[in-house]
Amino acid sequence: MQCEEVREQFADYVIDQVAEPARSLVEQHLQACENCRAEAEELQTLWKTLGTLPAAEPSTELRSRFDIMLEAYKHGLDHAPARSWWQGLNTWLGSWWPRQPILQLAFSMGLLILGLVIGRQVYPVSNPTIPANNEVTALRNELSQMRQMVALSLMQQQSASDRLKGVNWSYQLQQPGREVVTALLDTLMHDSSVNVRLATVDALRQFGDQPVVRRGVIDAMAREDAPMVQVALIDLAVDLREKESIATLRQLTQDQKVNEVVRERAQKGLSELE
Amino acid sequence: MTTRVVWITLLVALLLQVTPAHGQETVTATFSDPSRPGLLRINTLNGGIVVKGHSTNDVVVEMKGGGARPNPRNTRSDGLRRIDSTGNALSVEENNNVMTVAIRDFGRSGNLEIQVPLKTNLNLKALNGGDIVVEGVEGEIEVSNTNGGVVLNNVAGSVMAYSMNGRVLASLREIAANKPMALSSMNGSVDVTLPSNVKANLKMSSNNGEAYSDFDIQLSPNSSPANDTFRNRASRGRGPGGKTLNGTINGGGPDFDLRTLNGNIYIRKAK
Repeated sequence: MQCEEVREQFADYVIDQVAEPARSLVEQHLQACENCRAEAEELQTLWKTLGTLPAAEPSTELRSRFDIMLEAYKHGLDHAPARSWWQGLNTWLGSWWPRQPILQLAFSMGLLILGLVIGRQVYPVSNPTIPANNEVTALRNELSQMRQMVALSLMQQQSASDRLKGVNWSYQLQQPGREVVTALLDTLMHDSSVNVRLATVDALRQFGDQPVVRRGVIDAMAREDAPMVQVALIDLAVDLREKESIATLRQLTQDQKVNEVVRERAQKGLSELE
Repeated sequence: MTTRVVWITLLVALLLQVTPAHGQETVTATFSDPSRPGLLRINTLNGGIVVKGHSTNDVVVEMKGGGARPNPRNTRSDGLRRIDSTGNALSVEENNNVMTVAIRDFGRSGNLEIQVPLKTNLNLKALNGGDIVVEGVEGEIEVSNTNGGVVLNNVAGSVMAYSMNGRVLASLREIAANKPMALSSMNGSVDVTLPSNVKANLKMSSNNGEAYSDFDIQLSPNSSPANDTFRNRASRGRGPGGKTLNGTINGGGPDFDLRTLNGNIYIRKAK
């Protein structure tokens, strides 16, 4: 056996995986060749040392970070609106989207080209545009789904700036699902930042024709504690000509604990609605 | 859990013969992971907050002045001892890179002066008795004050600031990319200084005030009745939609919301 042949067997030899008669041949060669012997011994030592390495233990920090993440996730689940199977399917489909914008673009382009190619194959010359259009529509829907998810996940963030970004994303949605409107109303009621709530009032203006939004605006008006947000809500209700808000507005004008600016605004709103 | 709780005890103060009511208290702490910016949260009832960036990893919290809230019915307490402890005024708690500073004794009023690492995220809230001042800090800065103003000097990153009755004054030396910002005040003015090369989409809204700027702001046509001043629209007196100006600086970028009901808006170019 030549050195090269022997060395090919080294890895197996070191872990005792070489069968006879090859084994004897290797051993014979090792007796004779000093270089190979030295190398074999080195490998053997390395193998044994590897065996004595302790198994990697997760640090205590890892555990606590995991717990925190799990808590945050559970918290998110508790607060998430109930999902239908259809929304579940959407989310599952959405999870296949890559996170990086470049990849998303590449993926979209790939799909588009695939669609065009399939279109050409199926309808060779007669009417090539129709299947391609279908594909584009599907892509548009996917894109809108994705934006919706971005908006929803941003509105859950700890950073107020990120939540504001989420609220502003809602302007980019052509046909936002009920989830987005629900999330906006939830932000309006519960967000700790006055600025985020103010931006939410503005964002809800675009959904002013939905009864749930009109109802939410009136509810928020009564329980809001920042006068500036109250004023914005009063303005919105008046702009929407929401007659249902009259009772709440009247209540605001009569409550001495309510900020003076708010009371004046409510009074003015009443005179416009009545 | 790497929870570190640091309590200042009155005991120490007494041993050192420092009168707690008028003395100063100082606590030094660090974030558990100094390699990434920590978050400092403060919520005070009485007294202002000053936060300054410094170039070490320590957070130094100092409580100044104030003292116990004067009790007008003090005469009735002759011969009695106060039941609550006068010490333990300052509590600094750190958990997973979030540090919470609180004044535990409601009777205490005093200003907090805090030095933080240069890159720190802030969440500061105050109710009565002073401005919130931030100087030289980079990060996500969220500030909210009810009866005092907000002053941000030479800060960087992104800002969310609100004051009900005070002015909001912010000077940013650098803007975080792609972070929206919002500055608002109900009864005060909103005065912001931005780097001259800033790219932003502006949304300016004021009921009874006007907007001023030395930036070249491209107003978008949908900012409804264009070339209409705030005052004109305010006199029409309807919804924010009717008195909001939208515009871009240097081609546009992240959204900056500037709002006030009764104050003016100033957008200044950094010199």
